[in-house]
Amino acid sequence: MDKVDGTEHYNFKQAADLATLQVIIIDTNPIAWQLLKQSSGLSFPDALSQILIFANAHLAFSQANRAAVIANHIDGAHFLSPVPPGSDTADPDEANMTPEQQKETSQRNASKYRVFRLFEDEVRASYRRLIKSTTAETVDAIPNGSALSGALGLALTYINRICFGGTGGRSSGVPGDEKSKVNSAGGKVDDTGRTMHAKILIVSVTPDPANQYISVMNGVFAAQKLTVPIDVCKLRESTVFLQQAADATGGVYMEPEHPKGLLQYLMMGFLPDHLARSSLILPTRVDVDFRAACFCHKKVLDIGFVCSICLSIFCEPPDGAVCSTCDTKLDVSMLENIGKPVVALPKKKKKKKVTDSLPESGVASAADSPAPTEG
Amino acid sequence: MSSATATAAYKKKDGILSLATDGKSLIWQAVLATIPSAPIVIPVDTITNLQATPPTSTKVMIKVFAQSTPKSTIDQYVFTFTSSSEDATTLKAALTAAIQAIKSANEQELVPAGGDDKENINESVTPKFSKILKNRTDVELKNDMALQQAVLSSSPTLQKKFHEVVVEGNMTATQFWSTRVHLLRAHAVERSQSRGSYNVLASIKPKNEDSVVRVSLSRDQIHTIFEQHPIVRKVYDEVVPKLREDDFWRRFFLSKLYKKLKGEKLVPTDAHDDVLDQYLKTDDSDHTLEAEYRPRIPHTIDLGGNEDNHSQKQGNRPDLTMRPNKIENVPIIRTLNNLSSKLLDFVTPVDVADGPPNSRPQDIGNSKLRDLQADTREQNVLLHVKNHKQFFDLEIKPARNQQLQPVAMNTQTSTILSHLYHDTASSNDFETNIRVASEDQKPRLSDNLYNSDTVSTEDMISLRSASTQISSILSTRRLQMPGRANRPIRIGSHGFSQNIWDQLLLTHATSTEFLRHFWDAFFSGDPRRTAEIRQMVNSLARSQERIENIALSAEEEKKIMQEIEQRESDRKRSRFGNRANDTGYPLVKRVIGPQEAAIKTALTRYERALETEAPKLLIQD
Repeated sequence: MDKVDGTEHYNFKQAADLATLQVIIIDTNPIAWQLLKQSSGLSFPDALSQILIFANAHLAFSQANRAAVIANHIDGAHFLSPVPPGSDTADPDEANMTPEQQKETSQRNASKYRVFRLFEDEVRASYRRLIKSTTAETVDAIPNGSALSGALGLALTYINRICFGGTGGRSSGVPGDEKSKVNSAGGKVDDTGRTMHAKILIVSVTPDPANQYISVMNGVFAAQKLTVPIDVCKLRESTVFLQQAADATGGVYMEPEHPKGLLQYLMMGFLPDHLARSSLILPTRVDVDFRAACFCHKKVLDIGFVCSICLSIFCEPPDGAVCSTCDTKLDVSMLENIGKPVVALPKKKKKKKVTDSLPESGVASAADSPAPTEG
Repeated sequence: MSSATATAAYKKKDGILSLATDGKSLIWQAVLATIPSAPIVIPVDTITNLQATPPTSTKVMIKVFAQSTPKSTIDQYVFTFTSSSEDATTLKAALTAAIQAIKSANEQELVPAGGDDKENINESVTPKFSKILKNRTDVELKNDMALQQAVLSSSPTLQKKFHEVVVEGNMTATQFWSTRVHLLRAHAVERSQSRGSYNVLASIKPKNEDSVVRVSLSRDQIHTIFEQHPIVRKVYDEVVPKLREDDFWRRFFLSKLYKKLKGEKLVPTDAHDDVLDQYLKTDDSDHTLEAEYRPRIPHTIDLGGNEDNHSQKQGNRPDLTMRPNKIENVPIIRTLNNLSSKLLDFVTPVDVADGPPNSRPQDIGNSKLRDLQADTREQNVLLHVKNHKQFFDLEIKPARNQQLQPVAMNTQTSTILSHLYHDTASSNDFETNIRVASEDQKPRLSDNLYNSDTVSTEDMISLRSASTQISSILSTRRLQMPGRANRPIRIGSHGFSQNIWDQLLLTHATSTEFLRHFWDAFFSGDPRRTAEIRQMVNSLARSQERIENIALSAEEEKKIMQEIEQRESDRKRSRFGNRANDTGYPLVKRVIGPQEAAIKTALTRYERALETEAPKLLIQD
């Protein structure tokens, strides 16, 4: 009887058929790329073209697949593609081009798959506009600038709109829909109401923005809830946050040793969609560093103190037992009690010694700092 | 529990015997003013026995046996009622009820879940809501040995761990349970729940033997039938003196009544029973029960209360068929629904109201339309999240200098920007690069397309090394995949025998247990727990030894395995040779590695605390 029933068949097909939205977050910090170029020879234009090949490969998999590129710039996050509705899509140099140049460009583009060309032109033009509007002073003022949390937030809200927005109503006006003309979502919906799957790729060259720890982690947990894997390609400056982001969301974390072969890493590591991933061994990093950075001194901890209200992590009890994040007055008596000298027992040193393979955290010092010596 | 009072004499002194209003104690107060005496108070839960003269006797007496504390002597009190015999009877009944209530409450706590289902059903009919929902304190749970035994026997793994840690190790049972109060609580709650009633008629299957229908019926089943179908009890009460009991049941199981109750269709060919068929049209519902167990709905919002007067329904409309036996063939689905709701009525409701209906002031509040009210103020806990920037400014400043230097030596920021701008221009070889890369499969992704093969070979090299890195990660990950076939099947999927594996698991579990208690005590700051800490340190040291021993025995096992392998074919041996580094001692060490590190950290921390603490204590002393 069951075999005659066709519902099972339909269900399976729906789940398998959903297209994928690939959101790529690229660090566009000029200094960081310059440093990478000096150390490994991979320049940003090279990397961008390789990332575009990767995006095209993703688009080529299915007509319904979509891609979005977000620039994590020094002073904020910007959509490179699709461009926000109403903004200028033309290349900043286009106005100055001679008719011959324009003709040449259009001829060269003539043989190219239209979807690829539109997407590439859009990304490139937006990037050039972004760079043109960036002054050297801004860059010098914040050389390590990164808007990771903002970019992640943009990516997630965009995913939420595209993948869960439904078919009618407001989602028809998603940013850039009429401008980018790249793709359109298929009309299918799976049982959770999502119309597309999504994944995020972060190509990162900047160090961890420690002051954004909370917002980045919130973004990670949101992605986890939406079952959106966050892949991380860390070309420079090893990171703790993004490792945990990839691990928590089931994404791939890679630190390429040979950044010039970026394309290879992208293609082999990050291309598979959610269906393929379930049956592949992913080249994600083997040993994930689960330790969290404390909020107060950015130290990576084994054992620490956690605010009972906002879950901020501290390597030692904060000043005056007031949580520095949420201003909650913590239970001082408990803190004072901890580590109070007990007969033949804890009054631990402030000095930190590395005694074994595990890095010593600040707990020992934390335990005794609020409690002056007894007697 | 209503209080009851009666005048009664104790040791030939007149007084008043009364039951306290809470039903917890029996109080006798002398009335004789001349001899002031303290009232005798007997807590009801200490009463072990109660004897009374039959109500017909002229001198009504009651004898109370009370055991004040466990294992002490039993005190006897004899009260002679001087008032009317009605008063005496009321008091006796009240006292008996109070004793019963307390006893059964205790019993319910003690009787394990495996007890008789029927009993539980009967018990649950009498309301004891407070007992079922009673929250037990942690201390109560920790001291409940019977409960702990039950928890242990329900989980073999826990029992094993308990055996290892408490029976053979040196942890006390209290310590063991102190971190598992949640398990005890869960089990206690689980035990306090009982299986509900079931559709008893459906479970009785008449057997056809030699054209005689045989039905086996237990006393419990009869009881449940009566409970679920009051009509059967009614018929039984009215018919049985006339009919013999077995005769009644025989006829019942053949009757139309039985079929109707079961929800089967009545057909004209059914045998006629002139006694039982009279009751076919009687309504099989127990209104008293319904009234008692219906959820308490205030009349102000009780829509069902007006059902009978509902003119839109059948209320006042004449029945079109004008036939009384309209519902003779009730569809089975409705029969089952009725029965199910009846079964649910037997279940003790959790949210039963204490007071009489329509007396609660909040009912008025509940019947208000909330969306017409003004918005209530939100009572959120506000988090004032502060910017952390001040913490990081210190870190960023030196970093900036570091960062800027290498860049500044070569280029100005503005140059970098303009380079970036021009290199991504459309007039560049941007697309060409991509096309060439895909056509030749020999990517030349550098700025200059036309320049030499050296660039492209360099690119090739980096692409190759990229592949190598990915493949190496992949192979490492594949090794970690569970259940891969790259381990000899003979010694189990983990790389060593089941025996070693079990030992490892057990050691891991116990060590985790010790670690947990160690840190708990270590950071408690409680001087009284010093002994416990020392004990845990010893246990942890022994855990280290145990791990070492397991690793050594794994090594021995490996050697034996290798000998066996050597006797086998060369091909197999060579395959084993590849793995040789990854089994035995090193493998065990690697598997348990994290925990060993954790134990080491704990011990080091303890030693360091000792070192720094000991001198200070000496000075203090």
